[in-house]
Amino acid sequence: MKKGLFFISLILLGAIFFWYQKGNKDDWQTFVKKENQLIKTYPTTSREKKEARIDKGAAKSSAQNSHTQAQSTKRAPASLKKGPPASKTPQNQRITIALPDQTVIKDASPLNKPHKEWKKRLGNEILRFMRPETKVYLKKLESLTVYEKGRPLHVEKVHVKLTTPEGRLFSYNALVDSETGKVVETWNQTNHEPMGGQTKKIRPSGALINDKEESIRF
Amino acid sequence: MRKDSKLTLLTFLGLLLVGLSSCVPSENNGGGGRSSSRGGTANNTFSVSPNNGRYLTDNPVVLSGDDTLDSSVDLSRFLSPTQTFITENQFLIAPCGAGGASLSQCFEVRKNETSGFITATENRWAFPTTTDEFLQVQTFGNMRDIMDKFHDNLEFSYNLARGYGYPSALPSQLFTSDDNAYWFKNGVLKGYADCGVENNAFYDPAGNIVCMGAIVGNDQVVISPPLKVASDPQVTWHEMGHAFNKVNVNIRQRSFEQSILQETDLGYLFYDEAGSINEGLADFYSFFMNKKTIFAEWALGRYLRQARPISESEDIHAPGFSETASGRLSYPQFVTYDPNEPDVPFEDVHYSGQIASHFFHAFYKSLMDTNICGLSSDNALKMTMHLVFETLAEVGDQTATGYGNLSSTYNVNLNPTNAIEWISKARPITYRRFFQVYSKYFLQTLGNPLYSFCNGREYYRDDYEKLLDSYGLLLFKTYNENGNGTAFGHTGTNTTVTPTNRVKSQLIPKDLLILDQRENAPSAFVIDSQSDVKNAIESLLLGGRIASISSEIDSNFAYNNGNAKVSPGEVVGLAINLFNNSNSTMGGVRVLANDWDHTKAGAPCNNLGDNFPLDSEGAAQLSSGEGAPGGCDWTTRFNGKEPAETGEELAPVCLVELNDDDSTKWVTQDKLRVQMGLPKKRCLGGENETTDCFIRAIKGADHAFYSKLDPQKTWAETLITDEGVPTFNTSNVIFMEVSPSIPPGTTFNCRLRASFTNCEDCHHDATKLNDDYLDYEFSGARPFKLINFRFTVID
Repeated sequence: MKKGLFFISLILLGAIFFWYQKGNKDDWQTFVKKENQLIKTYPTTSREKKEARIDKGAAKSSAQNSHTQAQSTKRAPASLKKGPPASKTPQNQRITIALPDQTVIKDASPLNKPHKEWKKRLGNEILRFMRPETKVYLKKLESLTVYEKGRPLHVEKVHVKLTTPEGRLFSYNALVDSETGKVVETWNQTNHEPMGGQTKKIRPSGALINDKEESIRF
Repeated sequence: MRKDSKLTLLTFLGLLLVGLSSCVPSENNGGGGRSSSRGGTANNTFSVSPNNGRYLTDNPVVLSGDDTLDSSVDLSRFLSPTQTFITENQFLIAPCGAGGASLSQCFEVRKNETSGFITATENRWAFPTTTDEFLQVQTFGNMRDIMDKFHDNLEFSYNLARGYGYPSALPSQLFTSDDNAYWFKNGVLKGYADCGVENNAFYDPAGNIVCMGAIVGNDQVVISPPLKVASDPQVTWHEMGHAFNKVNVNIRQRSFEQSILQETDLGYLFYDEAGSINEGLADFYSFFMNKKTIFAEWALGRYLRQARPISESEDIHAPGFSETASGRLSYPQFVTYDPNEPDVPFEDVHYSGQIASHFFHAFYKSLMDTNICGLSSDNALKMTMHLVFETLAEVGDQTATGYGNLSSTYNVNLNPTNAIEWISKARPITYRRFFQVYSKYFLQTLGNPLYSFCNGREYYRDDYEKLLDSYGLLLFKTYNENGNGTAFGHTGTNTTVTPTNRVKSQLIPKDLLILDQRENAPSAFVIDSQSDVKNAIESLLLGGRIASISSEIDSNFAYNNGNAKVSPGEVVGLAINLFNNSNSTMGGVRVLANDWDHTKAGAPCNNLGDNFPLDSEGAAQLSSGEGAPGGCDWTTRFNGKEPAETGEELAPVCLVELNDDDSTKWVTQDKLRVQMGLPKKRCLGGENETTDCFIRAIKGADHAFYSKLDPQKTWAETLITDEGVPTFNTSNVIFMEVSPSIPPGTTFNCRLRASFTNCEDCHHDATKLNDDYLDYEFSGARPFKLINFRFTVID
């Protein structure tokens, strides 16, 4: 009896663990910088999602308004879009985007090769210059192949959130090299309306004097 | 029963009866609120009909006329007894629609990101004003009201453009695109009524969130209880304004369902003019709703003294402003003006944005003036916004067509591949660019004599130019109807601005922007102390402003020694010390340190106007085909990104002085690497990027922006009010990585490009009847003033 209960508990724990891991597979991942440049990473916890203001997505399945219309079915003429819309593509598939004016060199070898540790590399890259206890939360949105001078470049589109040790929060989107984890582009930075305080300024150490090797120090 | 027990029981029963009676709606109420003993509306559940509720339609100061209200004020005093439809939904989720299209879920409101949805009580949305629920209904109502009005206006603009048939930037697929061009492509806009941030509210485009915090005070004042920002609808409308601007600048690529790698933003640095226009428009969206010419005197003004005016007539302005040609809040003089502290210049997009908000208000008023146009208030507002929608659609366009249908004829932003670089850096959205496009659409609509918008006639161009000039914004010489494309950018005829209308707007030749040449004047301020660089880089990384930093740079900036010189291994910030050598104020001064087309065959061209370098110093030997690809007077047509355009790669700004056997030459950095025998992998960008092996500007921090330079002054002299050391924002500084492998004593010359908004010859090509420069020319030298910034790397 006891043995049976023990095994049932183990199975149950295993199932919970499996479900938790599965649920977090493409969910948020936390990177936190500790002392001595050590960076820890793990699936973002519920508490951290609260701190980072990551929307848990309140249940809306029962909230559909039966009185409103579905989206209009009017269709536009055929568009010049390259590649299938992201929303119709299985999550793990890489979407190729060639902009209308870009030359694509046929059979060109890619500029990089996706690495399974790209997210970890990205987290390390962002935190490299940050203070201990700074946290980065990353969520992959899409895997893309874009073109640079005609050659394919594999990138990941991500949502980046950061919290400072003081609890300040930042958010933006980024394109990241799928191999090195280095940030290629950023956009969608938050528009703050800071009230009641001045922004921190940068003070120079000194100045270079015209064309001379001299400088003055402040 | 004892006597006292009976008394207790009777008292209890009496109280119970009184309490129960308050739950029964009054027969005389008709669904209205019951007045409290202090005159407020109680807003109880059964004081409204099903699906209804109440919320403040403006802030308490506006509704009461009392600007001394305390944060603990009973908001029920300002609720109208009249109830309003909220939603039939179970939760606070709103649909939206325009032009025959609709979405069942456009936005939702909760308290914050971790809380669930509130539900109606007995299908009613009336809650006491002290509750979280009320604040959420408040936010929902305010968001819904402005969203509906925005979509009404967008539909009006769409129909107007289709009806009149001029080349509009609003595509015909606006309401039929699968990408929901009239709203957000992915996901619902989330409104958080009380998200817990202090002294802040924000719009987060990455998460598609409008977050309303609370004002708690600062060093000077502590506000208790905190003032909930959502209790000021004007701030909610302002944040929604940011969301609408986001929709508008992406409208063309979404309408045409063009795949893009990143969305267009309106503003890219801590301070730039695109961000200023974004803020000015967001303030104007408050006026759009309530026709009040002061913004947020409750949330920002009551305790923090940071309310902002939208008209020169507002009392909050310093003396001297008026709604007259001479009294306007004009550009660039007032870009750093804070009405609450007029003597302290403050470089911030919220203050610079006031110039935009004031112009929009003045233009709106002029449309109602019977001597000018005579429109109704409603139509005047619609037309003001119509021109905004057209302008944002064009300037943010990543299809690069600008207006009309999708095609391979590019008229704006160079081409789809380079559109973001043009919008953010090469040819950004400045006051000049925005209002030139705004004016073009004015000319095609209100100013078109064929359409007679203004009661039988057009809005005369002279009247418009004079109004624009009174704001210092008549900064263009033509309306540039032919765009900036390579193929057609100099074809046809552009409408020319009447020169005599340009009285206040000052255009200054670019040669008057120079490095400070005065004796012992700095050529640049240097930020190289470990702590300052750490703070700055952290700020840039947190804000997502910069990409990556080289692995050659120590993670602790250990090489940063604070000696105010450029040393190997450092990340160094440089605030180039430019001087305005003219008698007028320069606005929107920009310095670029990104790669550009200034070398050919691996050597620097010396015919770009800066007399550098000499032929004997290694200048490029021109190919035999002058005026053809590969020559020094050919600028790449594709920003160096087209494989077929060989010999037209861009080059980093910094060249290095190399001592040859018998001479000194200026060469590209890779030549130094080869001479040193340094392995490619030791370059800052790794083995695949050797052109900027030793010194390179960090992407994202490779351009600097300065609000203004007063006459005969530098930026530091313009902004500081005492004799102290100038301090900088991150947007004023170019950050460079300096390889640890540089031999001390190596001299670099960084060939920076500078421009400013009210520049005579940075935007207009005098050889083409003052038509605007074509987009591709912004890869080269012609639109810019070249600044050769030289320094020696010292150990």
